[in-house]
Amino acid sequence: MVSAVRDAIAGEATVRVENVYKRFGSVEALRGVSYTARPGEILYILGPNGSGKTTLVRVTLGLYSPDRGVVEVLGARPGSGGWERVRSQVGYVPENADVYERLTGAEIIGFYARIYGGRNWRRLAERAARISGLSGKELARRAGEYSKGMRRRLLLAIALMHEPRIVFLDEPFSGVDVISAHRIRMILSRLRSGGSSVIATSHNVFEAERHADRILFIYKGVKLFEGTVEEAHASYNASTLEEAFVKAVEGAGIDG
Amino acid sequence: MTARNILLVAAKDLRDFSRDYKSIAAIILLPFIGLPGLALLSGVLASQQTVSICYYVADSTPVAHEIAGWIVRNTTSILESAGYSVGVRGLGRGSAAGCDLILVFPEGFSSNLSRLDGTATILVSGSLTSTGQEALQAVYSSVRTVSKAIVVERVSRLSSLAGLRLDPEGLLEPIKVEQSYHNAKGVTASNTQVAVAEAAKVLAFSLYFVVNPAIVFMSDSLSGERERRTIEMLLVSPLDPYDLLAGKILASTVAGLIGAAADSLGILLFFRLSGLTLTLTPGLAVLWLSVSLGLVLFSSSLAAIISERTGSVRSAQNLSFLASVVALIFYFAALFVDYTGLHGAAKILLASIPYSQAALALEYYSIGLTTPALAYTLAVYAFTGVLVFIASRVFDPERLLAGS
Repeated sequence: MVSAVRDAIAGEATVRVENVYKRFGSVEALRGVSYTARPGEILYILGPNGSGKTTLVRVTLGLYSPDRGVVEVLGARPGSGGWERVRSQVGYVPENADVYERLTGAEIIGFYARIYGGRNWRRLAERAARISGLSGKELARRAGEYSKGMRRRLLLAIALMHEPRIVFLDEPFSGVDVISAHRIRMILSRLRSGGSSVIATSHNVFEAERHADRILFIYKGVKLFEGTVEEAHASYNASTLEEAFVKAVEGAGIDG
Repeated sequence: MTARNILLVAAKDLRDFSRDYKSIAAIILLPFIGLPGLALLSGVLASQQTVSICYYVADSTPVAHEIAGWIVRNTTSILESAGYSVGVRGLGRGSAAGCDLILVFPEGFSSNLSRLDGTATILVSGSLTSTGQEALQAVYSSVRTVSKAIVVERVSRLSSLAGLRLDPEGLLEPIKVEQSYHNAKGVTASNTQVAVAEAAKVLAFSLYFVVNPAIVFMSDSLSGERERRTIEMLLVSPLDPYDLLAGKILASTVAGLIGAAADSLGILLFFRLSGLTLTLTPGLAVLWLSVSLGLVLFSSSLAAIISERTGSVRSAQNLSFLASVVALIFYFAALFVDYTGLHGAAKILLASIPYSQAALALEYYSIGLTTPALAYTLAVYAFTGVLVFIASRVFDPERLLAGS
């Protein structure tokens, strides 16, 4: 939490989440989680299924209201006057997001391009088509006929068409083929080079070990660690991120 | 809120809907084809029904045979004009199987008729089927005609014996009723007004077909976005959640009205093909369209509130179906109950529910009371406005995402 405050004061953080709690009925999904994201970095939020990764992303994006704590994205809080501006500078691909199956890829892109681009929608649509890597023929087909990899690329293109400053990707490599995964990795690298913040959730520590600038361990709604991969190795005296994560969980002594 | 974004969402939903052939079939084509199909099929099947008339004349006199023959021929003619095929055969002993109508003219039939005060008996039996019932009605009609002719003949004989000039019709019907209808203001109603009053009952019932498509569309549209996992990216986009809701209400209203138009056309075709008439004056048509639009908006908003709070399309549609059943109850009852004549708690209940307000508006208009008709139409819109407002106030993206 100290580092989060420090970054915010320094004006570096694009995302600042402080001491956030979220409960669904009897389940405490987030228990005092804090983290920051900075421009030009890829932050991986790592944790097993049900650890609170998706809830944390949804709280950060203003989709869920936190029971307690502070969320600031690009200096604005969800629901505040500046939040409308934030929504046009954020891209998001949820884990299980899908396409409108009865619409063509081009129609889906056109729909979102009009939302993000208004009168300039054609320029955004062209960019999205380029990012997706789908051919004109493929874009003219109904999205219901697409493979999972094609759907994922289409959604990623929609999330990036407006050149967002922050990109949230929930399990971006889940269930996609090798070629689509490679293409997504290339896109993430380009985003980082372009100065965007990329926040990706994953339960795959090997993916994070190779591509993350920083990582955040979360387990049963509690943040266990935030820092670089090297810092994780050093903190838990581990040779791999997997080993570091296991030691972090074992050392935390968290009750369900 | 921006009109541009509302139209954008509505256009997307309607394009999606236009390719959902199963839903289109359920909402639009099924009633459009189904109702006229029902009329055509029932007409075709009715013409395929055969009524078997069996008769036996125990009285061997020519008069008995002549009257029996006439009754059988006239009954046959009535049934044939109703679309039945009729078979006639003489009845031998123990051969009544397969007969829908059995007529027995016993011995002494003609002698009883020949007396001035004699009563002749015909034994009539119908089968326990709908054709048996129809045949009984037809034979009663035939017997009434014969009876009247015999009475006229007897009166002529009596008046001749008495040396009087008498009108047999006057003797038969000493009191004659001249019937007419009047409207709520006490003014005699024209034939058109009478027909409009009948049409209003049918139109009130047809409002159910207006309500149902809007409910089905809205449930699928809002819950479907969540179930098909397309809602989350929309909620994060710059699209205002209220634009999303308004766009979906607009799309379901359009879909509802298209469905309503198809259903209405189906109803008109049903009437035409069934040989019935449905009189629509311009005023009644405009009023029906007005209350239909209000009800579609009301139903869409109601379905939106329900859909937001349910976990799946199926549960949203099930719950919304309950709302449409309430509507169906009111519209079905409107076929038989004069809502305008109710008082007290029943009237307050009817006046406080938009579904029955719409039926009341149509009924009041049909009896010539335009002021209460307009008041109830406005009430439909007032309640709809309140519900749209509530739907927008309680619309919660977090709940929509969580689905409970």
